[in-house]
Amino acid sequence: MMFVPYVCCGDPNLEFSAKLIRALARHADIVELGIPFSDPIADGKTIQMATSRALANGVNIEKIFGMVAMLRHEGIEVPFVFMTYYNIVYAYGREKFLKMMKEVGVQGLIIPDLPFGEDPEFENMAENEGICIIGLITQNTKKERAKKILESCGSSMFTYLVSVSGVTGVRDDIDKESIEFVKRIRKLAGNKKKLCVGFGISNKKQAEEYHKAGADGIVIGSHIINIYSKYINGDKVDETRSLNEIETFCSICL
Amino acid sequence: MKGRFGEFGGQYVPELLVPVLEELDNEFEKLKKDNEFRKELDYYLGQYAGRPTPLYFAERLSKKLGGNAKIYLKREDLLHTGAHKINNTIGQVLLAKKMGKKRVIAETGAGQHGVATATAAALFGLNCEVYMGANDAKRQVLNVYRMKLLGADVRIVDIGSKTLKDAINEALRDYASNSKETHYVIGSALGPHPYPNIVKYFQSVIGKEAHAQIMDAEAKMPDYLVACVGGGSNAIGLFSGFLKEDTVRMIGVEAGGKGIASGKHAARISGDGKKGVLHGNLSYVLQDNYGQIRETHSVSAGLDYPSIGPEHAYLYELGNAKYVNITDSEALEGFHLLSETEGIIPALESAHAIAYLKKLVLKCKQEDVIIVNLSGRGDKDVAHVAELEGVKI
Repeated sequence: MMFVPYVCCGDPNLEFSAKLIRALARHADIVELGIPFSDPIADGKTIQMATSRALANGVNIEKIFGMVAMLRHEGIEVPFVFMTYYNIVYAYGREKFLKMMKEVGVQGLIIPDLPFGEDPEFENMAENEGICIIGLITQNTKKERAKKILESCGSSMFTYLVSVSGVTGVRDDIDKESIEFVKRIRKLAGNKKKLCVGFGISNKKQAEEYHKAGADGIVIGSHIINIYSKYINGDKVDETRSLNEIETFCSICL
Repeated sequence: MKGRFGEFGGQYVPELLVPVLEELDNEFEKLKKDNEFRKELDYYLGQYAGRPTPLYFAERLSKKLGGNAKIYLKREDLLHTGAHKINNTIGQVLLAKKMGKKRVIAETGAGQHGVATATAAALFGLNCEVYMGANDAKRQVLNVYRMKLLGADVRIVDIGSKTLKDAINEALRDYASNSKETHYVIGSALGPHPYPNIVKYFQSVIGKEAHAQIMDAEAKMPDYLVACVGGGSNAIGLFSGFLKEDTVRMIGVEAGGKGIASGKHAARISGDGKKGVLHGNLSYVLQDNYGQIRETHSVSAGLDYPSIGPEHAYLYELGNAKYVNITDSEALEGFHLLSETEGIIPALESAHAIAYLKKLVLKCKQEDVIIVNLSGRGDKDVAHVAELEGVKI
């Protein structure tokens, strides 16, 4: 099963994020790198707090590109996808952003406030640059639209299934509707497409249930932040304890 | 493209909201053509909210400002709850009811839109929750209590800048999570498609009335329209009645705060905003070099927002409307000016439009006609102004 952890870059500082990415890269199939945005409308409290800590401590896109370049230079090979909001990309310049992604070695891009089809020009630019824009499908996405998303260029990496009707953040259980949703999309997608489920997942039991329903992988975001955020003090974090607990989580969960 | 004003507007929202907004758009387009719905809306606007509002010739103000131009005030301040906001909330809450929704949510900055939504929800028997930034709630305790009196729950948003933009973030999250039973009543002509169209539709009554009223009074079109612009709903409501009149010059007045150079303002078009995406639409947005949304400042909470409705961005690019800004201290002068010359205490938002007249009349020819949208009354601001001017009441 694919494990796709999420790292909020710069929370509470970029040096720690780099260490976290190195630790997760040993277990992950893809690492999702969050670029903080001041107004993250698809995110729940945990990622909102992480985002505002990161921004308060001075992270920005240039520094994140720099960190990714450094990690690639060290020889970390796990595929990266950026997860950020559209204004970050727009402000940087859409084409320039895609070119920088390619240059530093980021293969995919998730933009929760850019639904499929909203900016076809950008989708084409990404295709030309060989960057996968990962499509998101929700429980209420209509079938015809879901089909198109599953056929979009970015689906060669994976398609993101949003398990819950809401924002990111840890939930303890899975409801029946979420399982039925994954089964339904699996049927629609056939066997070749990779499907990863995210939003609300934090443990092995949930991962197994989604796997049984037909998911290839799971995205874990808020839970990773919950593991280390209790050790944060200002722009510092107890790195040893945080990384030990991350290691334990990965070995139990995977 | 659907939902666009040129390149502006759009529907930059999480996938969860895509089908929800599609349904809203369909229902809205259907109801627009439904005579029963329009009759009902007209009934409540007339019998409950107090429409039509007068177009009042402010003779003393005109004289005081040099006597060149004739200044008319569109008296939205006389509406129930004290501002134009009620036009939109009655419309949207009625729309929500027709769609079978049990609950409405809203965001509010100063509290005016929150109060207007809570009012309409009480009128039509729907549950109501209003999101408000913690800093705004502190500044507007009276409106918080008003919303509670009207039966609404006020949800305090304690993250980010703790102001209007954060309240909108939280309302959008709620909407995405609870759209089955909930309608989100956006308060201004912004947000994702179809909201800018919906809000404009319900506010266009201002422009329609003003068009007919000025013909009665002057037998000609006005030379200028002036309205303050936060998100831009009162302005687009007035402008919409005159978009086909080539000779009418439209001016939107943004909040200049402590001056553009200070960085503490909310002047998106007339200041240093850049194109960007916030709250579901592409428009002019106050942001830093990395695309992070900036904190804004205005003496008037209703203008204190980092983006502007997408149709205004379009009117600006086309050259059909002009956008200027007025500082806090100029707005306060306008506040006193109208109070003393006409016996009308304007909302601090509307005081920005009044203050701009002082500059506009210098360019006017004899007998030029100006319509100013007096979008709200100033009762809510009296304590704030006293405090700013060091007066104990």
